[in-house]
Amino acid sequence: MTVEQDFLAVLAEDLGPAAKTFLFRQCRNHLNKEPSMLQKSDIDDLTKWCQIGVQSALGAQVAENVRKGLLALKQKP
Amino acid sequence: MKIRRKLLLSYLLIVALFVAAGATITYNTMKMTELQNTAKTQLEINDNAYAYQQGLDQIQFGTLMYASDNTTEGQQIIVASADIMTPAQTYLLSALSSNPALLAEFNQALSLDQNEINSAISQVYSLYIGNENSSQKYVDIWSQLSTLMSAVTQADAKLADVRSTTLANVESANTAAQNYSNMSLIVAVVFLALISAVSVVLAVVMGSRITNPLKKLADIAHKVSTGDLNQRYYLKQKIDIKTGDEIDELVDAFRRMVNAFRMTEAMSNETEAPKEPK
Repeated sequence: MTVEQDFLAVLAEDLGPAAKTFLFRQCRNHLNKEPSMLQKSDIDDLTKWCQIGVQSALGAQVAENVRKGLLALKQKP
Repeated sequence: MKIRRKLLLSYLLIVALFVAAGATITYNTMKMTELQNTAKTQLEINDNAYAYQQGLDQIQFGTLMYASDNTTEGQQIIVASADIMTPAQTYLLSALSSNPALLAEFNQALSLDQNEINSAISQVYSLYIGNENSSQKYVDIWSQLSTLMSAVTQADAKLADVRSTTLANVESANTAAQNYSNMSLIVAVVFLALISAVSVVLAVVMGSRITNPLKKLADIAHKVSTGDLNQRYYLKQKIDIKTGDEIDELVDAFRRMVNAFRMTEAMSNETEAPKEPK
């Protein structure tokens, strides 16, 4: 799986169908790249922006879940 | 646990109670049948012992008639008694083989019959048909008749013991069968009440565990459908349900759907990207 697919899988757990649009938006606005271009080195940065975005819309608890899920991707081989 | 498995387990619990009740009642019925057979056997033993007693009485009566010059009728009665006693003896020897105490009692009566009684009858025959025609002859016949009557009385007493024992056994079997019958009735009533109570409890518990989350979810769905996407309130306060079954999956899917609505709404309202936290 690519980093984009991993991100989508984690985000879809809480955001459902809005995950793809949300990821696209965070990548474009904050990393200035397409989701398909994501690297493992982007995980920390993108996680931070995803947490901020989710927290503003869905609250701290959901944002924390998302953060943990996304940071766990770093351990993935 | 999935709803189907929960319902299946509930059903199996009720079936298990039915099976337990059925097994207990079947066991009691088998015991009652066994006791009925025991009582029947004991009654048959009693009947045959009574027949043997009657046979002995007939022998005694026939011998008395013989000695009273009614030789033909006396012989007929004695021969007829054998028709009663022979099958009774055969049956009793077979049926009492499993009961040494009663067999011993019957063997004593049989011994009296085969030795003292038969000997007395033979003596009466011999004395009666003898050539001697004196008063001593009748004294001897009367002596043998006394011996005969004494032996018959003793044999009767032994057979009466056998009969009273068998009647006590019948009484005991009837009492035990009655106890099993009462127990079956109690088991049936108790299990019926238990099964009814368990069925009602399971219906109420299972019904509420399935319908209550669905009611809450329907209430929230109604509010979401009217545009109220305050998911934090709803998801934390209302859909805080963990049933471990398909309802959990439904709640998760619904939570994701509300989150998606909320996120889509937030993104469409967003005019600029959020600032990086310090």
